[in-house]
Amino acid sequence: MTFTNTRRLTANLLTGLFFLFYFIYFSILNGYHLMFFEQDQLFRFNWHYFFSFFDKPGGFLVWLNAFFVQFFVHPWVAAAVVTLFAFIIFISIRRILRFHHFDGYFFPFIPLMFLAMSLSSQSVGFIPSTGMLVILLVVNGYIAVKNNKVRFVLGLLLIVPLYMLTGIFAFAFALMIILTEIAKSPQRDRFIFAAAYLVLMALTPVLMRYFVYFITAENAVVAPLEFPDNPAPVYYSFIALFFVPVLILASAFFKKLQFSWNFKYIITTGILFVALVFALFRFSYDSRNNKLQEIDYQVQKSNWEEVLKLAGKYPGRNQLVLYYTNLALYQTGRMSDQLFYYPQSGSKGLWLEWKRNEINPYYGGEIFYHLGFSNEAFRWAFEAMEAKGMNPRSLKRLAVTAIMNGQYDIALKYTRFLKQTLFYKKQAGYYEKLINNPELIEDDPEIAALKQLIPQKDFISFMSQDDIGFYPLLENHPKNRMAFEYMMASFLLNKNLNGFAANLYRLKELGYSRIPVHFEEAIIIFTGVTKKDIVPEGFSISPATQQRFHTYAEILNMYSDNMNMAVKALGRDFGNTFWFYMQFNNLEK
Amino acid sequence: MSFIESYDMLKQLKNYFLISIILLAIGCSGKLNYKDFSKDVTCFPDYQNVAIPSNIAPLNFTIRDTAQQYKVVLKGSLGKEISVKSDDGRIIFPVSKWKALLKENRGKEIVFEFYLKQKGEWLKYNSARNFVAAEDIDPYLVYRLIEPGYETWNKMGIYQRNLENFDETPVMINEMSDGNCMNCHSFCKNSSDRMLFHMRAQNGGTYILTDGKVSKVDTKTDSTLSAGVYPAWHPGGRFVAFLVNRIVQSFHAIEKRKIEVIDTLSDLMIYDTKLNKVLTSASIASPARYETFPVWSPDGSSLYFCSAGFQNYRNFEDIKYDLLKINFDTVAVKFGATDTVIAAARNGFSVSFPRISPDGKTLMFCKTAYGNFTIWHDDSDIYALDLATSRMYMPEINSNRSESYHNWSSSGRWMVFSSRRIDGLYTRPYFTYIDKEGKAHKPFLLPQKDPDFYMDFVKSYNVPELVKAKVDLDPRKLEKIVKTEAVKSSFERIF
Repeated sequence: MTFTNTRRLTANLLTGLFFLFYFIYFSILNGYHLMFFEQDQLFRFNWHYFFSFFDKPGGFLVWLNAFFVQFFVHPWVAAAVVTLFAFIIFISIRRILRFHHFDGYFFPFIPLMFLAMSLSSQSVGFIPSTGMLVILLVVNGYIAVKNNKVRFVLGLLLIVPLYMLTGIFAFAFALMIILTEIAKSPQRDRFIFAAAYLVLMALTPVLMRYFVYFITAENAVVAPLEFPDNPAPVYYSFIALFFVPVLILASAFFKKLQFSWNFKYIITTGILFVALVFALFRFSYDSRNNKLQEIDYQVQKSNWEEVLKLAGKYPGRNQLVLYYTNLALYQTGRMSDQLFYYPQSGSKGLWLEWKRNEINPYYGGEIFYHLGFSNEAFRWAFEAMEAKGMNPRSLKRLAVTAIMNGQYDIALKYTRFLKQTLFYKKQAGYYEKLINNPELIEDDPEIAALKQLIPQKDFISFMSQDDIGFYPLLENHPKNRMAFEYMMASFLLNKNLNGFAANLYRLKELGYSRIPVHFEEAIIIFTGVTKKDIVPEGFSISPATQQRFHTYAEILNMYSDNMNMAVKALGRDFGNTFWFYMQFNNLEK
Repeated sequence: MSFIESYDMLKQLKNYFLISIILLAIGCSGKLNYKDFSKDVTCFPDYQNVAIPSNIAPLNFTIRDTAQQYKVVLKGSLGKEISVKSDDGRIIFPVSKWKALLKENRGKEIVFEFYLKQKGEWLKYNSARNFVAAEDIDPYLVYRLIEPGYETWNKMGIYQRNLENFDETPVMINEMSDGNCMNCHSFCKNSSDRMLFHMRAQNGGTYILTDGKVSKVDTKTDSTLSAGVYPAWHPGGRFVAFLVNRIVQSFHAIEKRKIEVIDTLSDLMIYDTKLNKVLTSASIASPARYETFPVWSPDGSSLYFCSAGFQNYRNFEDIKYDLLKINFDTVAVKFGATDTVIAAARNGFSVSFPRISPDGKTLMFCKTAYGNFTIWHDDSDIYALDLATSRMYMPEINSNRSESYHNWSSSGRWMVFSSRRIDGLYTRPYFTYIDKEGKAHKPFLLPQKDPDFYMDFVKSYNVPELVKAKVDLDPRKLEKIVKTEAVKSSFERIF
């Protein structure tokens, strides 16, 4: 084997390893994070949809991006698309660098690492990858043109359309072809070419803003990217985007820049790569976010056991995780027995506060849907769609709640959008079947059950720290078990024992065969304080609970002069009881 | 030329191409052998048996009956006809031929003949007769496009649509003003050179266009509840009546209702554009009553407004608005006596959005069971009041869903109104012809180039206003003013 072959083999092996790392990083560590990109948009095969993107520079790119993101329906598929894009970008950069006789095999990995850093954030999404891919392919096409004059004219012709199609990415294109002309063109007038490109590129956003688009000056420059509250991911994508022109510039200045395939080069590259991997994990990777998105995914699939399993492993305390955990506890019939087996933080973990943002309406409507509070579920889904734009989750929720409400005209409007997609067409077809044959609704166990719970007697929806309308929901449907359990959970979590005691009588009419464990625990406390017997007729406190309380009280007495010690001693065996929550919830923090 | 215009040109070219193919197909096919089939076709939008202005853009529609092929022949009274064939039921008329045919048939009937090819056989369905009115409609419609949401908004803007074709251009969009809310565009006597609108939050203020100049004022004073909303220009062009209010939104729990918008406090005030001064009086700003929706009589001598006795807003179903009228002396800038025009509360209903025809004879209003924010009330219908005889009647333009904001054309022969009749949620503008006898004809929906447009469109047409010419404003012109400080208005109490 010759030295060149060994070098090629090593390079290919390392390249393979890099992309394997890329794939693993995005599939295993970021799979659900990527899948959420898909949940954040809705690609439709529809002309109105297509043309709606063209009111800003870069609109076509956003459309194209949405096209690819629609396939992010599984962690492995999403990671495969991301890795494939990265690979094509890598090849494209390699070709450009080769054109410039820039012999730095591993340099193309650097922008890919920054792209990975950008892609690790929810706020920027996949657009930088799509943008880079498109631009680099165009640059490759440009440098393939051998005739200087033809190439120059092509460059001139491409700048404006590319700006309209890709926005800011056209600047990178212009920069690359300017540097290419300066570095490579043998013609004496290459500086004139470059100057012409430069002037055209500088004028394009200005002229477009004044004659074509209704956009702000900032948008004229950065569209289709936007600066979120934390702009770091945008900067990472800028670095990735403009790193290639920098390399071209380097090749222009250092004509004979050659990287010898020696120990020094390999070590330096290795250190650089390790540093970038470190930066990726240190500054960009968000394992909690991926876990949160996985929980969210399981909620959407109604895999409640899986939700509880994942919630149990979730590090720290997140309001959304608490909210989903409690929903899963109710759905698995464990809310009133195992509420305190999981971290709790008052009623904040039962429902999300109403806020006019992209997050709360999007996730917060879930509880209303399961409560059968169809108007409120519709409202939250509508607000989510307004805040985030059209997305599959909100549309499905709007369609199904409209069906529950018997508002078939509006349900059809939303199913029409779902029908224009690749992956929600089937679901839309099913909804339309229900719309066209309302008697079939009764055959759908979930919708039929929830339809039974829709309020018939009007009330004005309200939200407070203690309540989201449980009383009127129960007044409408005394057998709305979820409303009851959530109301009781809110009393327990807010330590409102009077409210709890006043509603205990509902156990009987809701068909409970025994008193749930946490209710027993609360009854013991309430009776101990008020000396009132509130155990509903026909029910009793189980001997096991009485025995446990006896033990609890003994340990508590043992450490009565040292509460910190009491927390430690009781936390082990009684941390999952209402008693412990009631007594030490504040101390626990 | 804006991008939108360029894009429209491209679409136009596409249409010409399609039309050429269609015409070619028709040319090749020759005369149809058909059987009469006495059945009405189902079209969306429903443009059958309506009265239309001769200057309206083509009424493109989709035939929803299933067929292998469709053909529509539009015949004028003088023999001219347009024939359109389609494979998917979408009937798109060529613009220039449509215009020529309508011009030729002013004041006459035109007929739509429908031919559907079913099971290999052409069937002639029942024809539809439409009347082309002699009076044109004002050529521009200005509206706000916004999702019919609850509290959240994203992109919104005030747009103007040329009714003679399909051009829509923005007057202002919130993407140019930090995403803020904007509303209440209002015109003086349908005139495009005297108008105003509001912006909220950052860049907040009332933007007033007079004689080609835009000024930005802050009509909130220490003595008034809020900045002015729901404007009504005095026909003289100097004064604008406004509502000042505190408002809450509540959300219903039952499927038949969704939102309740309630004023918890409300008064009227008059803004003097000449002096940048806010004027109010106890007679239009009573603490014991809720006043809202002011509108001037065409001669400017009276201000009509809705007024309800004060109630706790939680008893919103008991808040019922009467229609009152108060005299106004523009020279002395003084109010006179107040009259009750419609004693609605006593009769168990509520009045909102009074609008008087330019000839001063008819007042159209929304009638609902309670409250004033009728777009969320399915029971809201447009009613008419003959101001000479006080006869109240319901024109045949309503549906079983909400009909709400409406206004007259400058000629008084046309009216535009908002309706949610299609799906119960998204508001669409409808036009109705009011003939010389005062009869309102079957309304028709704002036509679009693509007849399926409304199926895919998820914004509401809010506050549709007919205007005599294009408003000479666009987001680029307004962007410069947006960032300037609003000039504070002064306050004066009058009697």
